[in-house]
Formats: sequence, C-alpha cells, structure tokens
Amino acid sequence: MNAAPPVSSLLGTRAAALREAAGYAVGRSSEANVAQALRVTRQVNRRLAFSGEHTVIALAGATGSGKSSLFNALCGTQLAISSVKRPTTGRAMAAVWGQTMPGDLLDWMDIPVRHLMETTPAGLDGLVLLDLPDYDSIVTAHRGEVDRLVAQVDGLIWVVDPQKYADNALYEGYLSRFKAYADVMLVVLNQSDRLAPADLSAARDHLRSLLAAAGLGKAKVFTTSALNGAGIDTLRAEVAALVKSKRLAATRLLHDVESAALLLAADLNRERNRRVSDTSAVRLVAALSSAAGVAQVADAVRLATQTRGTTLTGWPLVSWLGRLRPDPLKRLHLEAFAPAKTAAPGEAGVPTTAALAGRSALQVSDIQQAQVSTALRNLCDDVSRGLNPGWAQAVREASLSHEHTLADELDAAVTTTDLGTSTPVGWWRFVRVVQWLLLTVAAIGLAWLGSAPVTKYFGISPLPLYRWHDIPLPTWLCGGALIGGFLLGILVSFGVRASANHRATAATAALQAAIRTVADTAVLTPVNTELERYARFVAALARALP
Amino acid sequence: MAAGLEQALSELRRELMQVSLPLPLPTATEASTTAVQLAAQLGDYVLPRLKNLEAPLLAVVGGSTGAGKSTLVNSLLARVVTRSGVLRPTTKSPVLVYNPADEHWFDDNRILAGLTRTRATSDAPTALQLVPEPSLPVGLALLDAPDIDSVVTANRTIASTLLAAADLWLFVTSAARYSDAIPWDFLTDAAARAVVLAVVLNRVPPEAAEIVPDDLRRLLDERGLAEVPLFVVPETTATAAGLLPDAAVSELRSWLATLAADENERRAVVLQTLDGAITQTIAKTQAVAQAITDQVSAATVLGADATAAYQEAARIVSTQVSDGSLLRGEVLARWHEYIGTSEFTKTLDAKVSWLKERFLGLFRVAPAAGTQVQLAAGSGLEVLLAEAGDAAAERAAQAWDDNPAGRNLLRAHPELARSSASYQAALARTIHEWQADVLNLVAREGKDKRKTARIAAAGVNGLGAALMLFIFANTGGLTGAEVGVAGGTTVVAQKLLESIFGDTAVKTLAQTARDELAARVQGLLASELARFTKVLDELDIDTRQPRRFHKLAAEVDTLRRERELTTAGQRGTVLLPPPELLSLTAPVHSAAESAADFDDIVDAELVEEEPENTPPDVTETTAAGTTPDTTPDATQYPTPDSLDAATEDGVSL
Ligand SMILES: Nc1nc2c(ncn2[C@@H]2O[C@H](COP(=O)(O)OP(=O)(O)O)[C@@H](O)[C@H]2O)c(=O)[nH]1
Ligand SMILES: Nc1nc2c(ncn2[C@@H]2O[C@H](COP(=O)(O)OP(=O)(O)O)[C@@H](O)[C@H]2O)c(=O)[nH]1
Ligand SMILES: [Mg+2]
Ligand SMILES: [Mg+2]
Repeated sequence: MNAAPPVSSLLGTRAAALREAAGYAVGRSSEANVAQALRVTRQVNRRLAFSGEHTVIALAGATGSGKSSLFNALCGTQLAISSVKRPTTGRAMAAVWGQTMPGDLLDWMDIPVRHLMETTPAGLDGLVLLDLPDYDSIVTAHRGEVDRLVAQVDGLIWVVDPQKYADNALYEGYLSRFKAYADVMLVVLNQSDRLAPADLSAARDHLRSLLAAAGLGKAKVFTTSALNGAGIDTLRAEVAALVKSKRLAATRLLHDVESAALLLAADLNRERNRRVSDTSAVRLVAALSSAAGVAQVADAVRLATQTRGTTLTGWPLVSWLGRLRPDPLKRLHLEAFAPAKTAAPGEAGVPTTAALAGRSALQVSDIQQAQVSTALRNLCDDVSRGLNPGWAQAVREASLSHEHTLADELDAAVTTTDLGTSTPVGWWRFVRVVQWLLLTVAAIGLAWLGSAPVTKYFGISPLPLYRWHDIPLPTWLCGGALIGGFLLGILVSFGVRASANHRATAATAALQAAIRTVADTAVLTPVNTELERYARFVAALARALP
Repeated sequence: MAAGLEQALSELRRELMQVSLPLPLPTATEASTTAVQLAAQLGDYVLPRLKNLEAPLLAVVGGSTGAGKSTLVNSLLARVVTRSGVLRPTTKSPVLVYNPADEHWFDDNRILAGLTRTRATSDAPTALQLVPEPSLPVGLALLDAPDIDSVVTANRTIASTLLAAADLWLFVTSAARYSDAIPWDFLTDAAARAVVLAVVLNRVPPEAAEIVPDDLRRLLDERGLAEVPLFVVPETTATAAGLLPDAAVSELRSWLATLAADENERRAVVLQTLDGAITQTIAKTQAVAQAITDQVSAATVLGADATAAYQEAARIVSTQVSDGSLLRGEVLARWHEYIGTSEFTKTLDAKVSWLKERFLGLFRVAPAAGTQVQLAAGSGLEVLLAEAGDAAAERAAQAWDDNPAGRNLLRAHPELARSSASYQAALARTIHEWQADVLNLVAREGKDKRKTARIAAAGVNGLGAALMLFIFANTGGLTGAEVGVAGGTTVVAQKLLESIFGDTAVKTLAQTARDELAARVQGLLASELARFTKVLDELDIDTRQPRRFHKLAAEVDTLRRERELTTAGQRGTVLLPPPELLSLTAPVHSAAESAADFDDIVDAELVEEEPENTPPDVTETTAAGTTPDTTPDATQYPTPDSLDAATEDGVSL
C-alpha cells in the first residue's frame, strides 16, 4: 500500500465517485449497470479492508492445460492433483508465501483449501497463488467457481496449451471481458515440451497475434513446461515482480471501477446545465392560470367591483336594484376567503358553506386540464431532449409528482389570494354621501312643495315660495338635486368602471403570483431537482473515469 | 412416395427460409438459428440424399481444433491430402476426398451447394477442396472439416453445416479434450437425431492409455451413446510428412473399409442418419412454429396495447365533446356576443319561461358573430384533441416500453412516444371539415323547410354555432353554477334551432352532426394509431406460418412413416465393428518403422487388392445388436459397376 499511494488514493476517490454516481442512477440508468457499479464499489471496500500485504494471483485456463501442474511447479511441491483424467480440479486451492495466512481474505474468497509455504523464495513474500478449476469442461459447476474467483482476484495468469490456445471459449468467454486488464495479466503457453522449438516460437507468435486481435496486445506471453521445468523460473520472476510492486490489487480494482463507470456512461448525454427554461415556465404558468380560472375570477372581480361601486355611488333611487343581483364572487365562493380587512357591512364577509369547505366553485374544464397536460408534457420534452430514456422518464415522473393534488393546490391558491375586493374604493363613500345629500335636498324641496296643503289645512301661513326665473325655489331644489344625483351617478360610473378594471388587473397579478408559487412547488422544483440529480450523476461519473 | 416426401420437405425448406422472428423474445434467437440450420441441412443434405440414395456415403471427420483430424485423414489415406499444423486452427476450408469413380457425385452442386468447388488448397471458408483419391473405396467419401471450437467463427459455422450434412460422423477428440463441453454438445445432438457415429480418441499418451479411454467410454454411456464404436489412437511421433504410423490408424481404416465394402451396411447407415435428420427436422419445426406463434402473440399484445391507448383517447374526447366541457370561457363569451346580451343569458334560469321562448323566436341576432362562436368552439376542440392524441401516444409508448419486445421497437422509433408531426395540422383540418359539415347540414335542412327568411335572419353561421353548442351540452352532466350559465346557453341555442326547424328536425340534425364528429375524430386518431400498427406490420411476421408448419410437419411425418414401411427390411440400428477391434491393439511405432511398413499396408488394403463383388443381400441385413462378421482380410470393395448394379435392383423408396 505504502509503496504506491497514487494508485490506491486514486482508487479511493474513483470508487467513491462511482458509488455516488450509482446512487444517483438508481431507477434511472440500466438496472444491470447500476447493480454492477454497486457490486464493484462493495468489492473495492471489501478488498481494501483486507491485508494489503498480500497479492492474490490465480492460474486460470482450460481443462488439462496444466494449471495444477504449473501451480505445483511454482510451489515446488505436489500440492495440487494433476491428472490425465479431465477435469481434475474441482475447487480452488491456495498457496501462501510469507509469515501469515490471510485467513479473512481467503474466507472472503471462499477458498477453504490453503497452504502456508514453508520456505519463502526471494520476492514471493505476500503471494497468494490460486489453482482454479477449468471453465470449458462438461462439469458446468466448475465454471461458476471460476467466474466467481476471476472477479475477485488481484491478478490472473491465463494458462493455455498448444492444442487449446485458440479456443473460442477462452476469447469470447473471458479475455474479451478483460481487455482493460491486459497490462496486469500474464498468458502462459504451457506444455512447450510438446512442440519442436521452431513450432513453439511460431505458436507463441500466433498466440500473441490472437491476443492482439482480441484487444489484449499488452498482455505478456510466456512459454513454460511444467513437465521439464522450462520457463518456470522466468514466470516465477515475473510473478515476483508483480507481488513486489504491491499495486496489483489496487490496479485491478481501478480497472473494475473504470469498466463499471464506462458501462454507466455508455450513451450518456453529458450536458449538465439542464433547467426548465423561462419560456416553458411561463407557458406552464399560463396554462395553470387558465386552469385555475384566473380570467374567470378577474371577470368576477371586475363585475363585483362594478356592481358594488354602482350600488354605492349610483343614483340612490335606482342603485339599490344592484343589490338584488347575485354577487359573481360569492357565486364562486371566493369573496369570503379573501383575507377580509374591513368587510363592508352586509356585502361580504359571511363565509358560505362551500367556502368553509375550502373549495371555490370554480370549475376546471377539460380544455384547461388538457392545456395543463400539454404544457407539462412540452416542458418535459423540452428539458429532456437527448436524455437517456430512463432519465427522461424520471423527469416526466417528477413533472407529474403532484398530478393528483395539483387541482386542489391551484384552488387553494385562488381561494387564499387577497383579491382586493373586501373594501369599497375610498372615494365611493364620499360620492355616496354626496348622493344622499342630494337626495335629502331633493326630499326637502319636495317637502317644501308639498307643504302648501298641509299648512293650509292646519291654518298655518304657507312657507314662503321664493321664485327664481319664475320657478319656485323648492322645485329648483327638488329637480336640481334629482338631476344632479342622476348625472353624478352617470359621471361616477366611468370612475367605477376604471376602479373595476384596476381591481381586476390587480387581482390577476396577485392570482398569477400565487399560481407561480404552485407551479414552483408542484412542477418546477421537482423537475429541476431531478435535473440537478442528473447533473450530479454526470459530474460524479466524470470523477470516476480517468 | 419419395417424390411426395421430397416435395413436402422442399416446401418445408422454403418456409424455413422465410422465417422471420424480429421481436427479441426468449424463443427467438434459438428458433432463428434453428430455422436457418434446418433449411441449410435440408438443402445441403436431406433433399439431395433423398433424391440419390445410392450416392457415396459421406463420412465427415469433425471435432475440436488440434485433435488431429487432418493428420488422421492423411494417415488413413497414407498421403497428405489436407494440411495439418501446429498453428490453431490449421484447416479453414473443408477437404473432400473420394474415389475418382465417384467424382460425378461431388463436382456439381448437388450437395453443399453453398460451397465453391476447388482443386487447389484453400483457406476460404466457402471453398470445398476436391481431392480424388484412388485408394479410397468407391462409395465412400471422407471430408476433413474445420474445427468446431476455435476463435475462427467461420470454422465453427462451416463445421456445423458439414456435420449436419454427413451420413456418418467420424468425431475426433483427443486425450486432452475428451471432456470439453463443446464437443459434447455436438455428440448429444448426434445422439438426439440418431446419426451414425464413430468416435476417435486421438493422441492418447501411454500414461493415459489405461484411464482416458475408459473414462470417455463412461461419458458416452452416460449420454446414451453406449453403442458408438470408439477408436483409440495412441500418441505417436508423426513422420516428416506429418503422417501417423500405419498401425495407429489401421483399425479405423479397416472399419471404414468394411463399411465401404458392404453395400447394405452403407445403405443402412445412409437411411438411419437420413431418417434421424428428418425426424429431428419435424420436431424442431414445431419449436420454430411455436417461436413464430410467440411472435404473433407478442405483436398482437403490442397492437392491442396501442389500440387500447387510442380507444381510451376516443372515449375521453367523445365524453368531453358532449358533457359541456367545451361550453366555457371563450365559447360562451362569443355566444353571448352573438345573441346580443351576455347579462341576459347569465341571469337566465335553466327553466325558461314560455314568454322568453316566444321572445327568442323573434331574437335579433348578429350574423357575423356566429363565425366567432365557431372559431372559439373549434379552438377548444383543438386543445382537447391535441392533448388526447399526445396522451394516447404517450400511453401507448409507455405500454410498449414495459414490454421487452416493445421496448426494442420503441428505441428504434422514439418518435412514437408523441403525436406525429402532422397531427396538429390534421386535427385542425378535421375540425374545420366537421364545422363545414355542420353548416352544410343546417343549410340543407333550411332549404327543405320554407324557413329561408328566418335562417337568413339568424345566419347559417349562427345556426351552425347553435347546433354545435347544442351538441356540446347534449348529455347534460353539468353541475352547480355551470347549469345556470351553460345550461341556459344550450337552452337558448336549442330554442333558437327549434323555432326554425322544429324539434324533431333538430334532434336528427344534432345526431347527424354528432355522428360525423365522432367518425372524424375516430379517423384522426386511427391515423395516429396507424403509426404503431405500421411498425408492427413492418416486422413482417407471418401469422399463418405456424399453421403451415404444423401441416407440413404432419405431412412429412406421415410420408416418412410410409417410406419406413417400404424399406423396413433394410432398416435397423447400424452395426458396429466387433468389440475386439475397438481396443487399443496397435503397437506404438517409431516414425522410421511406420514409414517403412506404411506402403505395404496401403498396397495390401486399399489399392491393389482387386475387390470381389459380393452381391448385396438385402433381406439378410443386420438386425439390431448383431455384429457383421467381417475382418480386414475379408474386406471386399464393390467396383463402380457392381455398385450401379446393386443400386438398380437394390432399393426402392
Ligand atoms: N507434456 C506436458 N504435459 C503436461 C504439462 N503440464 C501438464 N501436463 C499434463 O497435462 C495433464 C493435465 O494437467 P493438469 O495440471 O491437471 O491440468 P489442469 O486441468 O489445467 O489443472 C496432466 O497429465 C499433466 O501431466 C507440460 O508442461 N508438458
Ligand atoms: N505427436 C503427434 N502429433 C499429432 C498427432 N496428431 C496430430 N498431431 C499434431 O497436432 C497438430 C494438429 O493436428 P491437425 O491434424 O492439424 O489437427 P486438426 O485441427 O484436428 O485438423 C499438428 O501439429 C499435428 O502434427 C499425433 O498422434 N501425434
Ligand atoms: Mg487442475
Ligand atoms: Mg485440420
């Protein structure tokens, strides 16, 4: 470990990054790839938790190529059984060079048969050599053991022989998966004694070319004979060099991490700065506003304001008729829930039953619902262009995360928004006073005019009838005040209309702000959170890769 | 009879060549390979063999790379006809060795038509090197095949093809390879289809001689191949030319010579393998048919999923169109404008008084505003249809995505997940056309009645609009405050229409307009759905093929049985050499020794001995379990003439 901090520290950061990336990718990227990434990070943790002083190298190969014989040759004793009968080796066996037996490590690898070597030749201290079963015989159980261990060991020596060195089972079944590990793998052409020297070098060259064609040009090729010992020393020296570097475990795991990360990164769109665009958001808010009935409410506000204004400021003789009209806001169960400041007496402020239940009487039509669905879909399409299907699906699901409560949230937003209709406009009261004054004046005039028979009946002297332009003053008073009130009513109605429009605009703005908040919590935030997750995934993956 | 069988089999071959299993179902990969292999076997072997039962017996020497097949063939012939070597694999083109008298059987494309005949050594996987060899008996051909297990894919393919076309397998393995999985896959297959088979255990070193042959025998027994003759060839030093000492192969050579000499035996071999191949073809055809059925059902499910998604869309739209959904906002505003006073209808109750009805009859309407109502109604419909189409596409795509077969299709056609590019335009056109229909309806109806003056007053556009509104709220379904507004609106529209056309006519008009809308929406959605069905259609799955397969398989089976009856006298399990010949008796020769006595043996056994013609004894041919009483010395080879003679009166099918 201490000899090579770069590899092991690199391994630590990359494995952590891979685990992070896999965590983000759960349920989004291909299940198998995520599982593989998690498996690899677990493997890294486990392997690093064990002795860093030991390097596990396995002899792997076809049945009868001489793995057990080579194992014995390297051990210098007949530990493994080798035989002409095939297949012979059924379970892996370990030989350990050094002071201690790495029990935990071998337990983890599930290798019960282990031997601690008595003598330790120079350079082999720390080597754990494994003799594996075959992968190509009719005993398929052997293949399972090989596959399991091949994934766990630190280094591999592939043993082939003159008859089997070109077998497809080796290349398609194993080597093609180990391209990335070529630099830390050895390939041994055993049974060299069976070939004439010229044939041997021809076969070795051919083996090299086959390896190169399979993408393993970097693998070192040796020739040995377990029978006569040729090439065994060279092989042992090469193994010793691998053991001495103490980097084999970390290098192998690093390759594992890299391969798993590459799997996750396959056909990945690396664009990270994905956010819902302003145009999409605006379109969504517009659709939501329409669905929430903002226009309808604004119309009601306009109409209600106008009705109330006219009722208040109109000519009192007719304006009371306005009270008979249903208040459009009340009809929507809206007014009561506006945070009433000083509700005009008798006008609003008495919550209806529907309003108490917290629902407006606004009806969301299918058209509006359809507009919302379309806006949501377009927003997702827009933001997940080029995204892998799994991630695009996650974005879509995020956009629909509040699907079932959206209508209620929108309604709540509308019902709790202050529509600004709870109080009459200030000048309305003044006009109202003026109107009543005028009406009083008219009444006085009328009373004056009507006083003549009364005075006469009671024998009182009649009230003086001043005239102006030949018309009695009370007539002036009565007629003038009535006409004045009527005219004022007409005049003021323009103002009322302006107030109504103003209040409708203000209500629209307030409603839209409330709906924007709903859009944020129900759609934009979930979608952006998912996009953020994607960005983190891509970033973590980039850190896991060289 | 044979003609009938031939015809049925070539029909079957044609069908097999047309098998297409495009959906990635669990059964698909294997069945496609099976179909290709069966078609190839029928063309390469079964059909030509049926046509020419008297053609020479083709023994294919097959097995693992490096087992020594080429060396063995050369050694059997005592002459290098095919290259052997240390580089694996050496043999890449098959080499066919036959007696020159048999040349006419092989130089045309009767069997293995896919291979180009050549006289020179070749490495091309599609070449077949022809080697006439006088020392080989007439009526027997040896084929040195490429290996079954090396990295060279072409070798593995051609080796399978050749073994499928063999009358007899000489399956070569070695002491190093005898428990490899891949050769055993082939042997198991051979057992399954009752190929006549001999196994050669080659390159057995002295230390293995006691153990390995017995172990191999055990493995053969376990796999139902107990009857198979096993030849053990010791590992010897080859001559400079790469030939094995003669003693090592003499046993095998005499077995072959015996077989070649006995025409009945040969024919029995031919018939057994042929019948096995046909029987297996029948069985495998059923599996292929099942795989096609699986494809059909998977495609049906996918089609049904997509259809369900669009049916749901049509259902939603039809509800929305009639439940008053469209009678809101813009449509109502325009309608109110049209009938003059919005306040009036807003306060209008659902129950309209008789007086108001009268009043409506005289209603003054603004004809130009009718168009506005239609536009508003149209844009509402447009929104609904656009959403319905998109949602249906999404639902259908989701269903496909949940299905492995569908997922593949969806990956190839990602555009399916949304409505087609032309959908928006198409739906606008649909709505426009429907509105034109409605106006036509109204105009036509108006012509019949003499109400032209009143129609002119309301305007065709306005009446069309009224009819649309009437339809949109026809089933009611409105609740609460909506009834007051929309309900009132429809009543107004209804009264307007009834005042002009009368109420039965209005009902008919509405029904016609509604039907037309439904039909147009159906058509619109159907053309969207067609994108999915087109993808499925392009898969080109032949739904009727499974039935044809079952029929053909049954027919072939019947004809095969009939033929079996007529040839019953000649049938039976092919006999094997006597047991003593199967043991390792040959001494291990040195290279020099073997080179010396090599010629002698060849001269004595294969070349110079003039074959005596032993007439074939058809009736007395081997019954199961007996062994022919032949030794190498007694071996007789038929001349070409005698072979012809024998075939003329010999066998009829
Ligand atoms: N000639 C020769 N035979 C060998 C050599 N190595 C192993 N063998 C033989 O090959 C056979 C199988 O060897 P074994 O070690 O059991 O192979 P494994 O299945 O790969 O473990 C045994 O009979 C060995 O004696 C070698 O280098 N030369
Ligand atoms: N010593 C010895 N070598 C053999 C024997 N049979 C085959 N060989 C060698 O094995 C190698 C492969 O033989 P070859 O006939 O090309 O095998 P094929 O791939 O099965 O056709 C060649 O180098 C042969 O010389 C044998 O019985 N003894
Ligand atoms: Mg072993
Ligand atoms: Mg060969």
